Amino acid sequence: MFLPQSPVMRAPHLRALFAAVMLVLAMLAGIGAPVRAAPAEDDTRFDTMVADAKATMLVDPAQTIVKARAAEIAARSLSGRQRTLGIATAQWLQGEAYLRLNDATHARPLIEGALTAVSTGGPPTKLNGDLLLSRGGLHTMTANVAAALNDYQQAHSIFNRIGETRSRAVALQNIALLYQEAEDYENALKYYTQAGEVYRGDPSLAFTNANNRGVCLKELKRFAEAETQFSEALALSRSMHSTVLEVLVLRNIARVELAIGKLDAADHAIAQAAAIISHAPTAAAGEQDWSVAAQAALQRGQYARARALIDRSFQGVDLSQTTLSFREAHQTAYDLFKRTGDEKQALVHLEALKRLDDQTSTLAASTNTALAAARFDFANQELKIAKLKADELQRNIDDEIARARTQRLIFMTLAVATVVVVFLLTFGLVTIRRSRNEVRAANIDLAATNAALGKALAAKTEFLATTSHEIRTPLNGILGMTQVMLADRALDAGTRDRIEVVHGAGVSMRALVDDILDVAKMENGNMTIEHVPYDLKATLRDVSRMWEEQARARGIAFTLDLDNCPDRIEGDAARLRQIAFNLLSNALKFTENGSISMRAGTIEQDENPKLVIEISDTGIGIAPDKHEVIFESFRQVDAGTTRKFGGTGLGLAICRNLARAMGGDVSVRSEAGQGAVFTLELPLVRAEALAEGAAESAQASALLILDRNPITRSMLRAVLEARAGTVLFAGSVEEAVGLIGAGGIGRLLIDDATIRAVEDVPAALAMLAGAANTAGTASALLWPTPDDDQRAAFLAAGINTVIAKPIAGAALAELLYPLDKNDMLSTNHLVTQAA
Amino acid sequence: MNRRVVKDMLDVAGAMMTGAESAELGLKLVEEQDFDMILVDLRMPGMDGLEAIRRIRARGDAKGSLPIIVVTADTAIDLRQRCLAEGADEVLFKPVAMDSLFDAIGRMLAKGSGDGMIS
Repeated sequence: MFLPQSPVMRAPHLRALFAAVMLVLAMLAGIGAPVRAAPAEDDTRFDTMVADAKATMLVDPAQTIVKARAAEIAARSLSGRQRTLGIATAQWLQGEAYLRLNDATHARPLIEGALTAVSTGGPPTKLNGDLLLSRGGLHTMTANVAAALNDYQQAHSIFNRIGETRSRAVALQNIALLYQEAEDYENALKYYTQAGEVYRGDPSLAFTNANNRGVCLKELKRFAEAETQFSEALALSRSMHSTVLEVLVLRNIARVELAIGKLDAADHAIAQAAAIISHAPTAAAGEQDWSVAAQAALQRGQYARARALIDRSFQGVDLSQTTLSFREAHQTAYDLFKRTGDEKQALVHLEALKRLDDQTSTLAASTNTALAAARFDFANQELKIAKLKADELQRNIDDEIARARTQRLIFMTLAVATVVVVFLLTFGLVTIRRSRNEVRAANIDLAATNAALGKALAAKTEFLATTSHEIRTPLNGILGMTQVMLADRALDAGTRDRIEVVHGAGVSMRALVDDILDVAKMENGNMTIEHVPYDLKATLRDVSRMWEEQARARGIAFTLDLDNCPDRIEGDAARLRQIAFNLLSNALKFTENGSISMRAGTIEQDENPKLVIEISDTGIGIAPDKHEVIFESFRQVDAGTTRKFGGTGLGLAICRNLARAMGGDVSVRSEAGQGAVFTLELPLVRAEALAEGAAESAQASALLILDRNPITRSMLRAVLEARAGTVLFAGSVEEAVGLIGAGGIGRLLIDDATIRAVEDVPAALAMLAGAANTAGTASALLWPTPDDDQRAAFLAAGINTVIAKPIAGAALAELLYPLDKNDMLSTNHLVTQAA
Repeated sequence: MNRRVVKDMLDVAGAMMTGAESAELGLKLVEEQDFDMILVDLRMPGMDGLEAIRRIRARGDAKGSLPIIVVTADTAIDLRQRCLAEGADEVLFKPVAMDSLFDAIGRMLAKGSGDGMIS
């Protein structure tokens, strides 16, 4: 290790060495500044004073301080910017001089003050840079490496800006020195190289550059390159006639030669140095030379000589207090004593070595750390640059992103559109499938619902059937017995009335049950409509007869208008009768006074003639908004009418259902309180009319049967109706006489059972026979096996024919209506019956 | 109750009736006695009316062709047709109107070969 060149200035000896190098630099820089700053200056006295002060800087800094102080006083007489710059220049010179005297305390305020003065009030000048370099030196002296580096950087920046290439090179070399101090030789070399490229016109700068590069290269063990640099430095030192610098370089050369084992060359260089020193007493002390020589002797194995040289180099020096400049000597001494077996002396020097190395390491480490921190700031600046570049890049990226976004948007739109289309297609397919499934499911559901409805309907039908059955059975008992009781002629009037009330109630109940069943059948669609010819007029007359009596009993006029009514039509007589019956019942129910009428007619229009039956009343009427409601099942205009007029509210619903089942309808015209007109319209299908003659002759030859027994009546009617045409019955002699008297009776048949109930049979028979004979009616008497006397008596009473019972029905018919005396119609009927 | 009603109704017309509590009993009576006509209900304990009709019609003798009138509280739509198909001559629905009963009986009697009047 060779440290003397290492500019660790805090060590007094080394500082002297370093000062020598810096002295040259500072001097040259210092001279340059006033020369350039001064040309416009008229005050030559100040210039002279400054130049004078600079001149003594190299040899006597203390003198420089005195002169510079005088110059400063002189500068205070100047004015404006000149005054400021003048004072600053003078202060700088003073500060620089104190630095050379290692007096940082006095140097600092002068340099800082001058720097502050020039930094304000104008653009940076060379003086500004020079002051920064000085302050950097100040920081270096006080081991503030980072601040020093910052000042050198700023100075370099200013010099670069104002085109001061030489000063730039000085700043770069100062920076390089900092790195060298931190033992970062690679970076130091880099700055030295840069400084050499920036400016080559100054031999002193060139020398410093070559020498320091040599030191760095040697430390990097690039000895050949170091040799070359030291040779260049040697030549420069000689051209500058500087023995101090020449000795400095020679020592460095000697060390390199020793390092590469060129002992003769090393000795030669040391000898040269010694010769120069001996001739120039001003040169630095030669203790380092002794140690180098000692090392050379050691390497040669000349221990005695080496021992002598070492002793000389350490002459008068406390071994425990040596500075870094003695490190080389300690090393050599240690090597020597170790080799010669003087362990005690070796240990003393080893301890010194360790002390110095620790010192060095600590300093280098702290310097390096400071530089690293500074570099970190640079790194930050680089980061800023990188950020700027990144920003630009970011803009490009943004543009790209924008473009990409547009493209992406287009792509996304297309993608979305595609997805939508695919989705719609899928949805469509799924929907179709689902709807198919749903239809299938719905069909299944429908089937299930239908089945359920079917069950419900069946249950309802079953319920109705059961209910109907269970009601009809007791009703059969009630109505049956009332009929039996009413059939008793011996019944007193009061009892008969009461029984009739019971009977009427039973009949109403029966109607109710029938209506309910009808509605159920209609709702189930189980109603069948017949299409057979029937006599419409006769049917309507028949229905009217049932209500006419009731209407008259309540004082209500009843009219039946059949003037425009067709006679025979095709259809369902029972259903038509049911409709007419219900409409008339309805009319009578809601009419308290006035009149009721039924009118039948036709509407001949197009190909579809219609049968129209109108039933009008003068009852309570129906408000228009209730016209449809009344045709619904179990509905009347309101609950009040139900309470007042009774009824199930099924009648009109049945009418409408029946009418519609027959292809027609029932409608109503009415206002509340104005009565109502119900109109039944049905398709009209006329049937062939019967021969009028037959009907009339049948009417003319009506058969009157006097018989009280209902079964017998029924039997006789069944036997004789076909031949007799109209068959009338009388329950008593008086009734029969009356009917005969009314006319139209062709024959009279008297049953013995009825005539026997009369007290005076012969008188009764005589009365009947008399009436018959008067009316021209043929009379016949049925008598159980009459003997001849009886037969004669009957004939004598006026009876035309006596027929013996029992007799077969056909025989009776033949007796009463012999075939040869009858017309074709009767014959046909007989044949039909026989078949 | 309904047998009593029919009996009383027939009494009004002077007809005689013998009641049977069941179809089985009725068939036995038909076997043992002579009747001019048979009235039968459909719903009875044990054998029902239609089966009784079938049994009667299954007889090959004169009793097998006796007039049969069904008297029922059932109102099924095709009941009449079913009864007629089984061999019944007439179907009456309860509550039975006395006139209808007499009319039916009278017609049944008239249809006969000429047994004459019952009284």
